[in-house]
Amino acid sequence: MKHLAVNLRSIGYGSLPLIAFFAFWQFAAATELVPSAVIPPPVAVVRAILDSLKSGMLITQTAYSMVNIGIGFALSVLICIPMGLIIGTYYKTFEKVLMPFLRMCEKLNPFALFPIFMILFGIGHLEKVMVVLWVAQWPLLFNTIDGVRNVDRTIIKSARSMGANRSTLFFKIIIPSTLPFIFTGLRYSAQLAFYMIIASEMVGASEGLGWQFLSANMSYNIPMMYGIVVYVTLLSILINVLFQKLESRFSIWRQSAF
Amino acid sequence: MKSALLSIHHNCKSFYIILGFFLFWQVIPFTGLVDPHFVPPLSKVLAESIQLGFANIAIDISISLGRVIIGFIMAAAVALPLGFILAGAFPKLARLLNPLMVFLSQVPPFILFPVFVIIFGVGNGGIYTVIFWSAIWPLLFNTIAGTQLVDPLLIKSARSMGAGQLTIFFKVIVPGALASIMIGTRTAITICFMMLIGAETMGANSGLGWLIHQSQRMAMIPRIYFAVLLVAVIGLLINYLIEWLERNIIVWQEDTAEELIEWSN
Repeated sequence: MKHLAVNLRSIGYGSLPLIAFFAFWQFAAATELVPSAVIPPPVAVVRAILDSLKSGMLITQTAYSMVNIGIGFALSVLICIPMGLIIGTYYKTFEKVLMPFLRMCEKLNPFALFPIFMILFGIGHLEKVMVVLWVAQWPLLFNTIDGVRNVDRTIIKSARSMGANRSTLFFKIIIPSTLPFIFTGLRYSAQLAFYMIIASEMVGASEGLGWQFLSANMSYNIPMMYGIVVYVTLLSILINVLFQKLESRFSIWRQSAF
Repeated sequence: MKSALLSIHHNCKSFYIILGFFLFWQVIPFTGLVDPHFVPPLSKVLAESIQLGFANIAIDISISLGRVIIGFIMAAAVALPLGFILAGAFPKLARLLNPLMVFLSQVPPFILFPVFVIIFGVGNGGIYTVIFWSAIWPLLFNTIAGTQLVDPLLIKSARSMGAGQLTIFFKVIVPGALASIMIGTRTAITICFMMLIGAETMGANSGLGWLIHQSQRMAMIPRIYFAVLLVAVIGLLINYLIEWLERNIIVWQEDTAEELIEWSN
C-alpha cells in the first residue's frame, strides 16, 4: 500500500512538468502568441487524433506498421541470436576478419539505404520487413556477441569440472548468462526498428503511420500532423518501457554493478 | 621476406572481407543473378563520379557537412551552458524538468521535420532545426550527468586551496565533465548525420541527401548507388574522427576500465 502511494506520488511529481508544458502550449495557442494555424492548440490535436481513432484509420495504419515491425523483428531475432552465439563463441577466429566489416555495416546510414531497398524490394511489405531486418540486426548481433564474451569463465570451468557436457554447458550456463545482454539488444533493436519503419513509410509507402503522417502533411491537416507526432512518441515510449520491464524481468540474478 | 608478407597479411585481415564484398559487387551483375539494370557493377557506379563532376560532389559534401557542423554548434551553444547551469546551480529544477526533457527527447527528429518546415519554411531553416533538435538532447543529458558526476572532493579541495567560483568552474568542473560531454558529442553527431540525410531527402535542394533523392526521382540508378556509397564513406570518416578526438582530448582520464579488463584476463 505504501509502495503504491510512493509510486503514485512520484508519477504525480513526474507528470507535473509535462502538464505545465501542455498548459503553456494551450495558453500560447489560445492567446495567439504563435499563430494557431502553424502550432494548433493541444485540444485540436487531441480531437484530431480521437477522430482518427473513431474512424478506425489510426488503428489500421498502426496495425500495418506493427505487422511489418513484428515480422522483421522476429526474423532478425531468429537470424541474429544464433549467429551472435556462434560468432561470440569462436570470437578469436572472427575478430579481425568479420567484426570490422560488421561494425562498418552497422554505422551505414539507414536513411541513405532506403532508396537501395526500394530499388531491390519495391515498396510493399517485403521492403518494410527488409528495412526492419537490416536495422534491427546490428544492435541485437553485437549485444549477443558481447553477452557471450562476458560469460564468466570461472563458472564454465567449475561446471566442466563437475562433468557437464556440451549441451548442458550451452543450455544451462551460456544461454542464461547471455539473456540480459540479448534483452538489452532487443530493446535497442525495437526502438530503432520502430523509428525506421516510420521514416521508411514517410519516404515511400502507401499505408502505415508514416504514410498517414505524410498524407496529413500534403493535405495541410496540421492538427492531425501534431497528433501523429504525439502518438508516435507515446508508442515509442511504450515500446521502450515494455522492453525495459522484460529486460529487468530476465536480469534478476544480475548483480547491480553500480 | 616471408615474415614481411605475414605481417602485412595480419594487418590487412580486416580488409579482406571488404575487398571481397566489392569484388562480389563488381562481378555479380555480370552473372545475371541480379538484373544489371537495377544493380549496376561497381565500375559503373564509380564512373558516375566522373559524370557528376568532382566539383559538384565536393560542393554537395561541403554543404551537408556544413549543415551538420552549424546545427551541432548551435545545439552545443545552448546545451552546454544550460546543462552546466541546471546541474550546478539549480539541481532541483533539473530533477523537476527531467520527465519533460525525457519526453521531448523521445520525439523522433525526422517526424518533426515536416512540422519544422511548416514553422520555419522550406529550405535551410527546417534542416538546421532538425539537426539542432537531434543534437541537443544527448548533449544536454550528458552535460547534466557529467557535471553531477564530478567528484565533490575535488571541488572541496579546490575551494580549500582558495579557488574562486570561476576557477573552480573552469579548472575542475569543465574538465571533469568533459568525458561525459565527449560521449554526448559522439552520440549527437552520429544521430545528426543520420537525420541530416533523412531531412535532406525529404526537403532540400542541395547536399548529399538531396543528391540521393534526386537521383532516385530521375531514375539514374548508378548515381543512387554512388551517392549512397559517398554517404557511407563520409559517415565512417566522421565516426573515426570523433573516436580519434575522444582519445586525444581526454588524455588525463585514467583508463581504469581497460586496465581492469586486461588485469583480470
